[in-house]
Amino acid sequence: MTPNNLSPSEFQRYTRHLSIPDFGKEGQLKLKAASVLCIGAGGLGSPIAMYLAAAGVGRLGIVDADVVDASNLQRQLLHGTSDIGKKKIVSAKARLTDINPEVEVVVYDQLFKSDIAMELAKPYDLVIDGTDNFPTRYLSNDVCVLLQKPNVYGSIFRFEGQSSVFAPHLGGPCYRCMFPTPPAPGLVPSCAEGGVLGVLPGIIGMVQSIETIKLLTGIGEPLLGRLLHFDALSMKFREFKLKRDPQCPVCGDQPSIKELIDYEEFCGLPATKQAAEDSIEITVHELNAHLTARADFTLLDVREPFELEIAALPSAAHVPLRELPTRHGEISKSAPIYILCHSGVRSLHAAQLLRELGYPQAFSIAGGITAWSDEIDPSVPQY
Amino acid sequence: MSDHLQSESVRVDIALPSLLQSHADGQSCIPVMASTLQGCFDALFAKHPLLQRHLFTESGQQRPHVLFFHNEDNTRWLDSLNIPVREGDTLTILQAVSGG
Repeated sequence: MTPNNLSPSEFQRYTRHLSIPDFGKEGQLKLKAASVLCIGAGGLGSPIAMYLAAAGVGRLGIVDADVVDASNLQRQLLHGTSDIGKKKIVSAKARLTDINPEVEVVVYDQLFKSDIAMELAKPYDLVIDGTDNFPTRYLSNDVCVLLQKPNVYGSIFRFEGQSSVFAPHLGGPCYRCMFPTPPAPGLVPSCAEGGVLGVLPGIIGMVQSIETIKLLTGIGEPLLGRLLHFDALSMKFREFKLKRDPQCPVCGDQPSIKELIDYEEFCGLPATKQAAEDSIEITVHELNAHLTARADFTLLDVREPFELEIAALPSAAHVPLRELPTRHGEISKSAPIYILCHSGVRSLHAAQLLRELGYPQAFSIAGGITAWSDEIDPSVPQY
Repeated sequence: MSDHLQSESVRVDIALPSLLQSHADGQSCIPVMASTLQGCFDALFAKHPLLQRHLFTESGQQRPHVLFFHNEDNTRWLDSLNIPVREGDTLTILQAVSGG
Protein backbone atom coordinates (compact mmCIF):
# COMPACT_ATOMS: atom_id res chain seq x y z
CA MET A 1 0.00 0.00 0.00
CA THR A 2 1.40 3.40 -0.93
CA PRO A 3 2.05 5.53 2.14
CA ASN A 4 0.34 8.90 1.93
CA ASN A 5 2.54 10.79 4.33
CA LEU A 6 5.86 10.94 6.09
CA SER A 7 6.32 10.84 9.84
CA PRO A 8 7.81 13.87 11.64
CA SER A 9 11.12 12.03 11.96
CA GLU A 10 11.07 11.20 8.24
CA PHE A 11 10.41 14.84 7.36
CA GLN A 12 13.47 15.73 9.39
CA ARG A 13 15.65 12.92 7.97
CA TYR A 14 14.80 13.52 4.32
CA THR A 15 14.70 17.30 4.33
CA ARG A 16 17.45 17.60 1.70
CA HIS A 17 15.40 15.39 -0.63
CA LEU A 18 12.21 17.26 0.11
CA SER A 19 13.79 20.53 -0.91
CA ILE A 20 14.72 19.28 -4.41
CA PRO A 21 12.03 20.73 -6.69
CA ASP A 22 11.76 17.69 -8.98
CA PHE A 23 11.88 15.17 -6.15
CA GLY A 24 10.16 16.55 -3.05
CA LYS A 25 7.67 14.78 -0.88
CA GLU A 26 6.19 12.91 -3.83
CA GLY A 27 9.55 11.33 -4.67
CA GLN A 28 10.21 10.49 -1.06
CA LEU A 29 6.82 8.78 -0.71
CA LYS A 30 7.57 6.73 -3.83
CA LEU A 31 10.86 5.59 -2.28
CA LYS A 32 9.09 4.76 0.96
CA ALA A 33 6.58 2.64 -0.94
CA ALA A 34 9.27 0.85 -2.93
CA SER A 35 11.07 -2.41 -2.39
CA VAL A 36 14.48 -3.40 -3.75
CA LEU A 37 16.31 -6.74 -3.72
CA CYS A 38 20.09 -6.41 -3.74
CA ILE A 39 21.91 -9.61 -4.67
CA GLY A 40 25.17 -9.59 -2.78
CA ALA A 41 26.43 -7.69 0.26
CA GLY A 42 29.97 -7.31 -1.03
CA GLY A 43 31.85 -4.60 -2.89
CA LEU A 44 28.90 -3.34 -4.93
CA GLY A 45 26.24 -4.37 -2.43
CA SER A 46 27.82 -2.28 0.34
CA PRO A 47 27.44 1.19 -1.19
CA ILE A 48 24.20 0.23 -2.88
CA ALA A 49 22.53 -0.95 0.33
CA MET A 50 23.93 1.84 2.50
CA TYR A 51 22.88 4.66 0.19
CA LEU A 52 19.48 3.19 -0.61
CA ALA A 53 18.82 2.70 3.10
CA ALA A 54 19.90 6.26 3.80
CA ALA A 55 17.73 7.51 0.94
CA GLY A 56 14.66 5.89 2.45
CA VAL A 57 13.77 2.94 0.20
CA GLY A 58 10.92 1.32 2.13
CA ARG A 59 12.00 -2.31 2.04
CA LEU A 60 15.50 -3.45 1.27
CA GLY A 61 16.22 -7.13 0.73
CA ILE A 62 19.81 -8.43 0.82
CA VAL A 63 20.81 -11.91 -0.36
CA ASP A 64 24.21 -13.25 0.68
CA ALA A 65 25.45 -16.50 2.17
CA ASP A 66 29.04 -15.41 2.67
CA VAL A 67 31.09 -14.79 5.81
CA VAL A 68 33.14 -11.61 6.34
CA ASP A 69 36.81 -12.13 5.56
CA ALA A 70 39.67 -9.71 6.19
CA SER A 71 40.24 -9.44 2.43
CA ASN A 72 36.71 -7.99 2.05
CA LEU A 73 37.34 -4.94 4.20
CA GLN A 74 39.33 -2.92 1.65
CA ARG A 75 36.06 -2.25 -0.23
CA GLN A 76 33.03 -3.78 1.53
CA LEU A 77 32.12 -0.97 3.89
CA LEU A 78 29.01 -2.66 5.21
CA HIS A 79 31.35 -4.75 7.34
CA GLY A 80 34.04 -3.84 9.84
CA THR A 81 37.05 -5.48 11.38
CA SER A 82 35.01 -6.72 14.33
CA ASP A 83 32.70 -8.53 11.86
CA ILE A 84 35.41 -10.88 10.53
CA GLY A 85 34.09 -14.42 10.74
CA LYS A 86 30.46 -13.33 11.04
CA LYS A 87 27.78 -13.77 8.40
CA LYS A 88 27.67 -10.79 6.07
CA ILE A 89 23.91 -10.48 6.37
CA VAL A 90 24.28 -10.01 10.15
CA SER A 91 26.72 -7.10 9.88
CA ALA A 92 24.78 -5.73 6.90
CA LYS A 93 21.52 -5.65 8.79
CA ALA A 94 23.12 -4.01 11.83
CA ARG A 95 24.83 -1.36 9.72
CA LEU A 96 21.78 -0.58 7.58
CA THR A 97 19.44 -0.39 10.55
CA ASP A 98 21.85 1.99 12.22
CA ILE A 99 21.99 4.16 9.09
CA ASN A 100 18.22 4.33 8.87
CA PRO A 101 15.85 2.55 11.27
CA GLU A 102 12.88 3.75 9.19
CA VAL A 103 13.80 1.20 6.49
CA GLU A 104 12.71 -2.43 6.67
CA VAL A 105 15.82 -4.53 6.06
CA VAL A 106 15.12 -8.15 5.07
CA VAL A 107 18.14 -10.45 4.90
CA TYR A 108 18.39 -13.84 3.20
CA ASP A 109 21.22 -16.07 4.40
CA GLN A 110 21.43 -18.11 1.23
CA LEU A 111 22.89 -18.28 -2.23
CA PHE A 112 20.79 -16.81 -5.03
CA LYS A 113 20.07 -20.04 -6.88
CA SER A 114 17.58 -21.21 -9.50
CA ASP A 115 15.43 -23.16 -7.03
CA ILE A 116 14.65 -20.10 -4.89
CA ALA A 117 15.45 -17.07 -7.05
CA MET A 118 11.95 -16.44 -8.45
CA GLU A 119 10.39 -16.71 -5.02
CA LEU A 120 12.98 -14.32 -3.54
CA ALA A 121 12.65 -11.70 -6.27
CA LYS A 122 8.88 -11.79 -6.78
CA PRO A 123 7.89 -9.50 -3.86
CA TYR A 124 10.32 -6.76 -4.90
CA ASP A 125 9.87 -3.93 -7.39
CA LEU A 126 13.42 -4.08 -8.72
CA VAL A 127 16.55 -6.23 -8.51
CA ILE A 128 20.12 -4.95 -8.25
CA ASP A 129 22.87 -7.18 -9.56
CA GLY A 130 25.74 -6.87 -7.10
CA THR A 131 27.05 -10.38 -7.55
CA ASP A 132 30.61 -11.48 -8.23
CA ASN A 133 30.21 -14.36 -10.66
CA PHE A 134 28.79 -15.09 -14.10
CA PRO A 135 26.25 -17.80 -13.18
CA THR A 136 24.46 -15.47 -10.76
CA ARG A 137 24.55 -12.62 -13.26
CA TYR A 138 22.79 -14.73 -15.91
CA LEU A 139 20.39 -16.02 -13.25
CA SER A 140 19.45 -12.56 -11.98
CA ASN A 141 19.00 -11.42 -15.57
CA ASP A 142 16.67 -14.28 -16.45
CA VAL A 143 14.69 -13.89 -13.23
CA CYS A 144 14.13 -10.21 -13.98
CA VAL A 145 13.15 -10.82 -17.61
CA LEU A 146 10.70 -13.55 -16.62
CA LEU A 147 9.22 -11.46 -13.79
CA GLN A 148 9.33 -8.23 -15.84
CA LYS A 149 11.34 -6.35 -13.25
CA PRO A 150 14.24 -3.96 -13.94
CA ASN A 151 17.69 -5.42 -13.34
CA VAL A 152 20.18 -2.71 -12.35
CA TYR A 153 23.53 -4.07 -13.45
CA GLY A 154 27.06 -3.29 -12.32
CA SER A 155 30.34 -5.17 -12.55
CA ILE A 156 33.94 -4.31 -11.79
CA PHE A 157 37.50 -5.47 -12.40
CA ARG A 158 40.75 -3.84 -11.35
CA PHE A 159 40.29 -0.17 -12.38
CA GLU A 160 37.26 -0.52 -14.66
CA GLY A 161 33.55 -0.84 -14.15
CA GLN A 162 30.37 -1.22 -16.17
CA SER A 163 26.76 -0.35 -15.41
CA SER A 164 23.44 -0.46 -17.20
CA VAL A 165 19.73 -0.98 -16.63
CA PHE A 166 18.32 -4.11 -18.23
CA ALA A 167 14.57 -4.07 -18.66
CA PRO A 168 13.16 -5.54 -21.89
CA HIS A 169 9.63 -4.84 -20.63
CA LEU A 170 10.53 -1.14 -20.65
CA GLY A 171 11.96 -1.33 -24.16
CA GLY A 172 15.62 -2.00 -23.42
CA PRO A 173 17.89 -5.01 -23.81
CA CYS A 174 18.79 -7.65 -21.23
CA TYR A 175 22.21 -8.85 -20.09
CA ARG A 176 22.11 -11.73 -22.59
CA CYS A 177 21.57 -9.24 -25.44
CA MET A 178 24.92 -7.70 -24.45
CA PHE A 179 26.78 -10.91 -23.64
CA PRO A 180 24.94 -13.89 -25.20
CA THR A 181 27.16 -16.41 -23.44
CA PRO A 182 29.79 -16.13 -20.71
CA PRO A 183 33.52 -16.48 -21.31
CA ALA A 184 34.97 -19.95 -20.96
CA PRO A 185 35.69 -20.75 -17.30
CA GLY A 186 38.91 -19.16 -16.17
CA LEU A 187 39.34 -16.98 -19.26
CA VAL A 188 38.31 -13.85 -17.36
CA PRO A 189 39.73 -13.74 -13.84
CA SER A 190 37.53 -12.78 -10.92
CA CYS A 191 38.42 -9.89 -8.61
CA ALA A 192 39.81 -12.50 -6.20
CA GLU A 193 42.21 -13.61 -8.91
CA GLY A 194 42.86 -10.35 -10.74
CA GLY A 195 42.28 -7.74 -8.04
CA VAL A 196 40.11 -4.66 -7.77
CA LEU A 197 40.76 -1.15 -6.51
CA GLY A 198 38.76 -0.87 -3.30
CA VAL A 199 37.21 2.47 -4.25
CA LEU A 200 35.95 1.23 -7.63
CA PRO A 201 32.80 -0.57 -6.39
CA GLY A 202 31.95 2.66 -4.59
CA ILE A 203 31.73 4.46 -7.94
CA ILE A 204 29.84 1.73 -9.79
CA GLY A 205 27.59 0.91 -6.81
CA MET A 206 26.74 4.59 -6.58
CA VAL A 207 25.73 4.61 -10.26
CA GLN A 208 23.49 1.61 -9.59
CA SER A 209 21.97 3.35 -6.55
CA ILE A 210 21.18 6.49 -8.54
CA GLU A 211 19.63 4.47 -11.36
CA THR A 212 17.53 2.60 -8.80
CA ILE A 213 16.23 5.82 -7.26
CA LYS A 214 15.46 7.22 -10.72
CA LEU A 215 13.52 4.11 -11.71
CA LEU A 216 11.59 4.01 -8.45
CA THR A 217 10.64 7.69 -8.52
CA GLY A 218 10.29 8.17 -12.29
CA ILE A 219 12.77 11.02 -12.53
CA GLY A 220 15.46 11.50 -15.17
CA GLU A 221 16.46 9.19 -17.99
CA PRO A 222 17.33 5.65 -16.95
CA LEU A 223 20.48 3.97 -18.21
CA LEU A 224 18.27 1.87 -20.47
CA GLY A 225 19.83 0.75 -23.74
CA ARG A 226 23.07 2.36 -22.67
CA LEU A 227 26.22 0.82 -21.20
CA LEU A 228 28.22 3.12 -18.96
CA HIS A 229 31.92 2.25 -18.78
CA PHE A 230 34.19 3.80 -16.18
CA ASP A 231 37.97 3.75 -16.34
CA ALA A 232 39.50 5.00 -13.09
CA LEU A 233 43.02 5.29 -14.52
CA SER A 234 42.01 7.73 -17.24
CA MET A 235 39.11 9.03 -15.09
CA LYS A 236 36.74 8.70 -18.01
CA PHE A 237 33.09 7.73 -18.14
CA ARG A 238 32.08 6.59 -21.59
CA GLU A 239 28.65 5.62 -22.84
CA PHE A 240 27.84 3.03 -25.48
CA LYS A 241 24.58 2.09 -27.15
CA LEU A 242 22.94 -1.26 -26.50
CA LYS A 243 19.78 -2.69 -27.98
CA ARG A 244 17.53 -5.66 -27.53
CA ASP A 245 18.51 -8.68 -29.60
CA PRO A 246 15.44 -10.07 -31.40
CA GLN A 247 17.21 -13.46 -31.31
CA CYS A 248 17.86 -13.31 -27.54
CA PRO A 249 16.90 -16.66 -25.99
CA VAL A 250 15.20 -15.04 -23.01
CA CYS A 251 13.86 -11.62 -24.13
CA GLY A 252 13.86 -12.06 -27.91
CA ASP A 253 10.88 -12.36 -30.21
CA GLN A 254 10.73 -16.14 -29.83
CA PRO A 255 12.36 -16.93 -26.50
CA SER A 256 13.55 -20.46 -25.89
CA ILE A 257 14.23 -19.92 -22.18
CA LYS A 258 10.88 -19.72 -20.40
CA GLU A 259 12.00 -20.96 -17.01
CA LEU A 260 15.22 -20.90 -15.04
CA ILE A 261 18.01 -23.27 -16.05
CA ASP A 262 21.18 -24.66 -14.41
CA TYR A 263 23.38 -21.57 -14.55
CA GLU A 264 26.57 -23.23 -13.37
CA GLU A 265 26.28 -25.74 -16.17
CA PHE A 266 25.47 -22.90 -18.62
CA CYS A 267 28.67 -21.15 -17.53
CA GLY A 268 30.65 -24.35 -17.86
CA LEU A 269 31.54 -24.63 -14.20
CA PRO A 270 32.70 -27.99 -12.95
CA ALA A 271 30.11 -28.48 -10.18
CA THR A 272 27.89 -30.47 -12.49
CA LYS A 273 30.69 -32.51 -14.02
CA GLN A 274 31.66 -34.66 -11.09
CA ALA A 275 32.16 -37.76 -13.19
CA ALA A 276 34.61 -35.98 -15.46
CA GLU A 277 36.55 -34.67 -12.49
CA ASP A 278 37.18 -38.07 -10.95
CA SER A 279 39.65 -39.20 -13.58
CA ILE A 280 41.20 -35.82 -14.24
CA GLU A 281 42.58 -35.04 -10.78
CA ILE A 282 45.51 -36.19 -8.71
CA THR A 283 46.04 -35.55 -4.99
CA VAL A 284 48.87 -33.55 -3.51
CA HIS A 285 50.20 -36.82 -2.06
CA GLU A 286 50.38 -38.31 -5.55
CA LEU A 287 52.17 -35.18 -6.75
CA ASN A 288 54.61 -35.48 -3.86
CA ALA A 289 55.29 -39.10 -4.82
CA HIS A 290 55.97 -38.09 -8.42
CA LEU A 291 58.32 -35.33 -7.23
CA THR A 292 60.15 -37.71 -4.88
CA ALA A 293 60.52 -40.29 -7.66
CA ARG A 294 61.83 -37.57 -9.99
CA ALA A 295 59.31 -38.76 -12.57
CA ASP A 296 59.13 -37.12 -15.97
CA PHE A 297 56.28 -34.62 -15.92
CA THR A 298 55.49 -30.92 -16.27
CA LEU A 299 54.28 -29.02 -13.24
CA LEU A 300 52.17 -26.16 -14.58
CA ASP A 301 51.02 -23.32 -12.35
CA VAL A 302 48.04 -21.46 -13.83
CA ARG A 303 47.65 -18.78 -11.15
CA GLU A 304 48.15 -15.04 -11.58
CA PRO A 305 51.70 -13.63 -11.13
CA PHE A 306 50.91 -11.93 -7.82
CA GLU A 307 49.83 -15.26 -6.36
CA LEU A 308 53.18 -16.80 -7.22
CA GLU A 309 54.86 -14.08 -5.23
CA ILE A 310 52.94 -15.22 -2.16
CA ALA A 311 53.48 -18.95 -2.55
CA ALA A 312 54.95 -21.15 -5.27
CA LEU A 313 56.40 -24.61 -5.82
CA PRO A 314 59.89 -24.77 -7.31
CA SER A 315 60.37 -25.88 -10.91
CA ALA A 316 56.81 -25.10 -11.92
CA ALA A 317 56.16 -23.59 -15.34
CA HIS A 318 53.82 -20.63 -15.25
CA VAL A 319 51.02 -19.82 -17.67
CA PRO A 320 48.00 -17.98 -16.19
CA LEU A 321 44.80 -19.79 -17.06
CA ARG A 322 43.49 -16.86 -19.10
CA GLU A 323 46.54 -17.15 -21.37
CA LEU A 324 46.38 -20.92 -21.77
CA PRO A 325 44.20 -20.85 -24.92
CA THR A 326 46.93 -18.93 -26.72
CA ARG A 327 50.04 -20.30 -25.00
CA HIS A 328 49.38 -24.01 -24.66
CA GLY A 329 51.83 -24.67 -27.47
CA GLU A 330 54.64 -23.96 -24.99
CA ILE A 331 53.74 -27.16 -23.09
CA SER A 332 55.11 -30.58 -24.04
CA LYS A 333 52.56 -33.26 -24.86
CA SER A 334 55.00 -36.10 -24.30
CA ALA A 335 54.83 -36.22 -20.49
CA PRO A 336 52.03 -35.90 -17.92
CA ILE A 337 51.07 -32.34 -16.98
CA TYR A 338 50.14 -31.73 -13.35
CA ILE A 339 48.35 -28.41 -13.02
CA LEU A 340 48.39 -26.27 -9.90
CA CYS A 341 46.30 -23.31 -8.79
CA HIS A 342 45.10 -21.88 -5.48
CA SER A 343 42.41 -24.40 -4.57
CA GLY A 344 41.90 -26.70 -7.54
CA VAL A 345 39.18 -24.89 -9.48
CA ARG A 346 41.22 -23.08 -12.11
CA SER A 347 43.52 -26.09 -12.50
CA LEU A 348 40.49 -28.23 -13.23
CA HIS A 349 39.38 -25.82 -15.96
CA ALA A 350 42.93 -25.87 -17.29
CA ALA A 351 43.05 -29.67 -17.35
CA GLN A 352 39.71 -29.83 -19.15
CA LEU A 353 40.85 -27.21 -21.63
CA LEU A 354 44.17 -28.93 -22.30
CA ARG A 355 42.47 -32.29 -22.82
CA GLU A 356 40.16 -30.65 -25.38
CA LEU A 357 43.28 -29.27 -27.04
CA GLY A 358 44.90 -32.68 -27.34
CA TYR A 359 46.73 -33.14 -24.04
CA PRO A 360 45.27 -36.42 -22.71
CA GLN A 361 47.76 -36.51 -19.82
CA ALA A 362 46.63 -33.20 -18.27
CA PHE A 363 45.67 -33.55 -14.60
CA SER A 364 44.47 -31.04 -12.03
CA ILE A 365 46.02 -31.12 -8.57
CA ALA A 366 43.03 -31.35 -6.24
CA GLY A 367 42.97 -28.65 -3.56
CA GLY A 368 45.79 -26.70 -5.22
CA ILE A 369 48.63 -25.09 -3.33
CA THR A 370 46.35 -24.71 -0.31
CA ALA A 371 46.12 -28.50 -0.01
CA TRP A 372 49.88 -28.74 -0.56
CA SER A 373 50.39 -26.38 2.39
CA ASP A 374 47.83 -28.22 4.53
CA GLU A 375 48.97 -31.75 3.83
CA ILE A 376 52.56 -31.74 2.55
CA ASP A 377 54.51 -28.60 3.41
CA PRO A 378 53.11 -26.19 6.03
CA SER A 379 55.98 -23.77 5.34
CA VAL A 380 54.25 -22.81 2.07
CA PRO A 381 52.24 -19.67 2.93
CA GLN A 382 48.48 -19.71 2.57
CA TYR A 383 46.41 -16.79 1.31
CA MET B 1 38.73 -5.59 -52.71
CA SER B 2 35.87 -3.21 -51.93
CA ASP B 3 35.79 0.51 -52.65
CA HIS B 4 36.02 1.12 -48.90
CA LEU B 5 39.29 -0.70 -48.64
CA GLN B 6 40.69 1.37 -51.47
CA SER B 7 39.86 4.66 -49.78
CA GLU B 8 42.37 6.65 -47.80
CA SER B 9 43.58 5.39 -44.44
CA VAL B 10 42.86 7.57 -41.41
CA ARG B 11 43.92 7.38 -37.79
CA VAL B 12 41.65 5.43 -35.46
CA ASP B 13 42.37 4.88 -31.77
CA ILE B 14 41.63 1.40 -30.48
CA ALA B 15 40.95 1.27 -26.72
CA LEU B 16 41.67 -2.00 -24.93
CA PRO B 17 40.34 -3.21 -21.57
CA SER B 18 42.99 -3.81 -18.92
CA LEU B 19 42.60 -7.57 -19.22
CA LEU B 20 43.84 -7.55 -22.79
CA GLN B 21 46.56 -4.95 -22.44
CA SER B 22 49.14 -7.59 -21.54
CA HIS B 23 48.77 -8.89 -25.11
CA ALA B 24 49.53 -5.42 -26.47
CA ASP B 25 52.72 -4.52 -24.64
CA GLY B 26 50.69 -3.00 -21.82
CA GLN B 27 49.11 -0.31 -23.99
CA SER B 28 45.57 0.85 -23.26
CA CYS B 29 45.17 2.74 -26.52
CA ILE B 30 46.61 1.68 -29.86
CA PRO B 31 46.47 4.06 -32.81
CA VAL B 32 46.13 2.40 -36.21
CA MET B 33 45.81 3.65 -39.77
CA ALA B 34 42.90 2.12 -41.67
CA SER B 35 40.00 2.95 -43.93
CA THR B 36 37.44 0.47 -42.54
CA LEU B 37 36.63 -1.23 -39.25
CA GLN B 38 37.97 -4.48 -40.69
CA GLY B 39 41.13 -2.62 -41.58
CA CYS B 40 41.41 -1.44 -37.97
CA PHE B 41 41.30 -5.02 -36.73
CA ASP B 42 43.75 -6.15 -39.41
CA ALA B 43 46.19 -3.42 -38.36
CA LEU B 44 45.70 -4.25 -34.67
CA PHE B 45 46.35 -7.94 -35.21
CA ALA B 46 49.37 -7.22 -37.39
CA LYS B 47 50.88 -5.42 -34.40
CA HIS B 48 49.55 -7.73 -31.70
CA PRO B 49 48.58 -11.11 -33.16
CA LEU B 50 47.63 -12.70 -29.81
CA LEU B 51 44.66 -10.36 -29.54
CA GLN B 52 42.99 -12.01 -32.51
CA ARG B 53 42.50 -15.29 -30.64
CA HIS B 54 41.07 -13.47 -27.66
CA LEU B 55 38.57 -11.51 -29.72
CA PHE B 56 37.58 -13.90 -32.51
CA THR B 57 36.98 -17.64 -32.71
CA GLU B 58 39.04 -19.78 -35.06
CA SER B 59 36.18 -19.56 -37.55
CA GLY B 60 36.35 -15.78 -37.44
CA GLN B 61 33.28 -15.12 -35.30
CA GLN B 62 33.36 -12.39 -32.67
CA ARG B 63 33.58 -14.07 -29.28
CA PRO B 64 30.27 -13.62 -27.40
CA HIS B 65 31.86 -12.23 -24.24
CA VAL B 66 33.59 -9.33 -26.02
CA LEU B 67 32.08 -6.12 -27.34
CA PHE B 68 33.32 -3.79 -30.05
CA PHE B 69 32.04 -0.23 -30.24
CA HIS B 70 32.68 1.98 -33.25
CA ASN B 71 32.47 5.30 -31.42
CA GLU B 72 29.21 4.63 -29.45
CA ASP B 73 27.79 1.92 -31.67
CA ASN B 74 27.93 -1.81 -31.03
CA THR B 75 29.37 -3.50 -34.11
CA ARG B 76 27.77 -6.88 -33.30
CA TRP B 77 24.70 -5.70 -35.20
CA LEU B 78 26.59 -4.94 -38.37
CA ASP B 79 26.36 -7.33 -41.30
CA SER B 80 29.99 -6.65 -42.08
CA LEU B 81 32.99 -4.84 -40.64
CA ASN B 82 33.62 -3.33 -44.05
CA ILE B 83 32.39 0.01 -42.74
CA PRO B 84 34.34 3.18 -43.47
CA VAL B 85 36.01 4.96 -40.59
CA ARG B 86 36.76 8.64 -40.23
CA GLU B 87 39.75 10.46 -38.83
CA GLY B 88 39.51 10.58 -35.04
CA ASP B 89 37.07 7.66 -34.71
CA THR B 90 37.53 5.29 -31.78
CA LEU B 91 37.10 1.55 -31.66
CA THR B 92 36.54 0.47 -28.06
CA ILE B 93 36.94 -3.15 -27.07
CA LEU B 94 35.25 -4.28 -23.87
CA GLN B 95 34.71 -7.68 -22.38
CA ALA B 96 32.51 -9.27 -19.77
CA VAL B 97 33.77 -8.99 -16.22
CA SER B 98 32.05 -10.56 -13.26
CA GLY B 99 33.47 -8.77 -10.22
CA GLY B 100 31.19 -7.28 -7.63
